[in-house]
Amino acid sequence: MSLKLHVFNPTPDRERTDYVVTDWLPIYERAQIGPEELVVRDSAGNILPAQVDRVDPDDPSRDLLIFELKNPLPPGDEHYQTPSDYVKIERGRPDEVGPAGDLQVHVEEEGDVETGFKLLNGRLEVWFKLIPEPWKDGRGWFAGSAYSVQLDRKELLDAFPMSWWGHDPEKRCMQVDYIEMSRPGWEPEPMQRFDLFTQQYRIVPGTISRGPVRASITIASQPFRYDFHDPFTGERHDLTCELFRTITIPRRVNFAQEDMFIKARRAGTEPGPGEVSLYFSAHYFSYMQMGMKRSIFHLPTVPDWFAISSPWEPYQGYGFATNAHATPVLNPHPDCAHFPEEIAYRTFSWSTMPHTNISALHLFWYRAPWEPKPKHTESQTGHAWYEFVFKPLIARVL
Amino acid sequence: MSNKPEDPVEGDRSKPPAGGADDLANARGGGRITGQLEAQLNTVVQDPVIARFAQEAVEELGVKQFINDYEEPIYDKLLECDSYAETAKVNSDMMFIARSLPVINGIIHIASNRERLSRAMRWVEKNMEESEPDAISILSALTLIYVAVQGEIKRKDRIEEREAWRRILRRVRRFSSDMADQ
Repeated sequence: MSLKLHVFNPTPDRERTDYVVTDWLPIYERAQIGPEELVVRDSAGNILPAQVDRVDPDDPSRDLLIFELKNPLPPGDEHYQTPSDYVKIERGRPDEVGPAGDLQVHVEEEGDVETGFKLLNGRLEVWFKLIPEPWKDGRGWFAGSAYSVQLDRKELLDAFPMSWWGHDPEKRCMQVDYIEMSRPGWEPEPMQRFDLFTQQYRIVPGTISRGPVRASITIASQPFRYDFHDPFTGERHDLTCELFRTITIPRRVNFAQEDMFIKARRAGTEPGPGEVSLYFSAHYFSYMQMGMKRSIFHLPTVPDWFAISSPWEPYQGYGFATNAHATPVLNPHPDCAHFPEEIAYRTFSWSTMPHTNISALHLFWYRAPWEPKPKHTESQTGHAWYEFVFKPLIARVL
Repeated sequence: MSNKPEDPVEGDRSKPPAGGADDLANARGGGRITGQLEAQLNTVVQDPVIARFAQEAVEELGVKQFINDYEEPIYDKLLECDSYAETAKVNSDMMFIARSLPVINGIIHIASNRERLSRAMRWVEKNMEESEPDAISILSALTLIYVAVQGEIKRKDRIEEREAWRRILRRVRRFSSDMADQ
């Protein structure tokens, strides 16, 4: 028994070869093949690297199938109307594809507390902190941030190689320092803000995944309360919410991706059926050494991505892309009075627009000594946004 | 934070040095070599204008004192860049420059500040003949020339490093001659 999945390349003018992410549950329901026996085969008969990632063990509808194409996918229809090719889902021995190799996930623990994790893909290493005060030195604002990002073993958040001077202890990126949720129109406040940078995250059990295509982990914030009153009955309702962040790094690439959603349930009830996703916007904070006189490239007409690049060797840069629009980048971040003015230029902040499922891509680069001086580095962020956020390859059961 | 060798804890780079008058640099030994430095800069760079600009650039940026204060690790780092460049099969000079400029930029970012940098950039624009000079690259390059020449003078007594410094100066000479050509 096998199941045919149609694969769509939404780029009309060129072939593409990459990885495909699609919902797993509808495939599983049709094929009745478990992840441990899953084999994905392309139309040429090749067995493809594939894995099933669990995002939330309480909600199988969020499980994802990821597979990597071996052969280029012919150009297709930009509205995902016409498939470019197909793959087959079969029962077999997935081990034939081989182990994940350089994809790794390491969890850092202190006693029985998970304090952080590290994702590696052979090129990129992202070191993440789950607790607000990792170094017990009074600086309790690091929760949910990547405090070190290394590309080809080079630290990119503080890229000038001054090892004898020490790394900047404030460096970090990918930090959702707070989220905002809209209040109902009849409430006096239009938005409700929840600070996350001082709140410990937890790793959602069962979500650490290290397959042949990517390494992935899901973390959840501390529960927070969102309340509102019913305009018809006048009753107050409380929702218990958690922000879920799934952070992944695919093989070989120079970016990390994340998917975020808020799970809300009536206060006092257990997780499970009846949970809802709520609209929210994520506010990001970063402290990165992009050099004095850095450049920020953000197209007003395509606010879904921007790039921050350093005009100084090694021309390090950071790109952000999202499916929810991003507001203009504030640099320096306006609310960092505790940083001396001389270093405030290292702070950056921005928000996404409200969405129920926010996807974000964090891209990193620098110039290796043997490479020519880079030009138009911002375009690689636009390219990544197009390929992995705006028009990704998808697969569907037809 | 010391959970990996590349991420040391020593030092606190969130706080820049207090700064202050760069003239103090001379009080710490900088003055002793000023004449020697000027002569050596002229010898190495071979273009008196660039030699002068190299000295003026570090003054404009306000990094001279920092370079004197941290000369040991800075020169060690340049030697490290040279030994890395020596492993390159081709274009070792370019490797050295590409590897050492980020070190120099680190110095500028710690020891200088936005105001000094803006001033230095205006100084470049005023003094360079190019219609649109890349002031940042020029300031990095001039500072590298200054540091390399001063490093060679200060490490002259270390026989084991002599060959490396000779190579570094040769690389800087080519680099500065490329600059002069531009």
